Amino acid sequence: MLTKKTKALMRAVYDKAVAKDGVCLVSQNDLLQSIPYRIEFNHEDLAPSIKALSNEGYFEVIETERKGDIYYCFTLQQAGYDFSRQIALEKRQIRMKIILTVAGVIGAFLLRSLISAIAG
Amino acid sequence: MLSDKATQLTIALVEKIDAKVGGAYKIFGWDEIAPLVGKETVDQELKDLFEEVRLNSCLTLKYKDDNEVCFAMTDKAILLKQDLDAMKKAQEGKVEAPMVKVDDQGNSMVVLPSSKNYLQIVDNKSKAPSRISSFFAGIGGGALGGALIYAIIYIVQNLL
Repeated sequence: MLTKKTKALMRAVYDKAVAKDGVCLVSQNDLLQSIPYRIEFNHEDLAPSIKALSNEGYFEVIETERKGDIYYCFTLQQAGYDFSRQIALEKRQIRMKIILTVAGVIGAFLLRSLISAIAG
Repeated sequence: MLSDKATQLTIALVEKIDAKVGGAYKIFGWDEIAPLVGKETVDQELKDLFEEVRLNSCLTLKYKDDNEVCFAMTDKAILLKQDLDAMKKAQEGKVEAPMVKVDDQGNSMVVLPSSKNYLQIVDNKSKAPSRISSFFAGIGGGALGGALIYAIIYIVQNLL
């Protein structure tokens, strides 16, 4: 199960990699900048999050450096390619829950009204 | 089999990234690789050379785009450079003792790091053992042996 931070990181990696046949080369700074500000993601969270996602099979990652900057080379694995579908599925499940909740409220209200009308 | 230019590129890449066995991946721009083969600009020939090196298993490619590449040199490339260095040193007479052995004829042989095969050094020039000279040596030895046996038989039949 992905946490908010790993989900944000995976979204950033996925958006960069999927446009380039599943492989991308990103600097550490670019990666951090790709994560939305509303997610509290610190510099120290990066390495453990990358390791967690790599262990879960979302991507293969190689760390390298160029001119003093750290770069990551991500290669999406099957779970990584399925990430967008996973997110879409989660959103659909949330939408269904909301719809069912609203339908339940409306249904309860109608039932109460009906009973009130019958009872006089 | 690598072409001369691809070999030149392979050796230059090994030197540039100071490649070691099991080494890490490095990132270079195409404009950094072009000078290694004497080019001033990045062109398709450079990319084809790079691809040739990759197809000959001298490098492992992780990422490539129009601007940069991320790769690591393989053990094969490192050993290729070591072999060429050993041959060059042998030609200059600078090979260290453990890398040289002397055969029965007193010829010096330099041991190649990759295959543990050896090259014969003749007058400070490395020379691979020639199959043709071995062939004629075999024929000559056989002829001499045959003549010797014939002479012995002749002596035994006529003199004894």
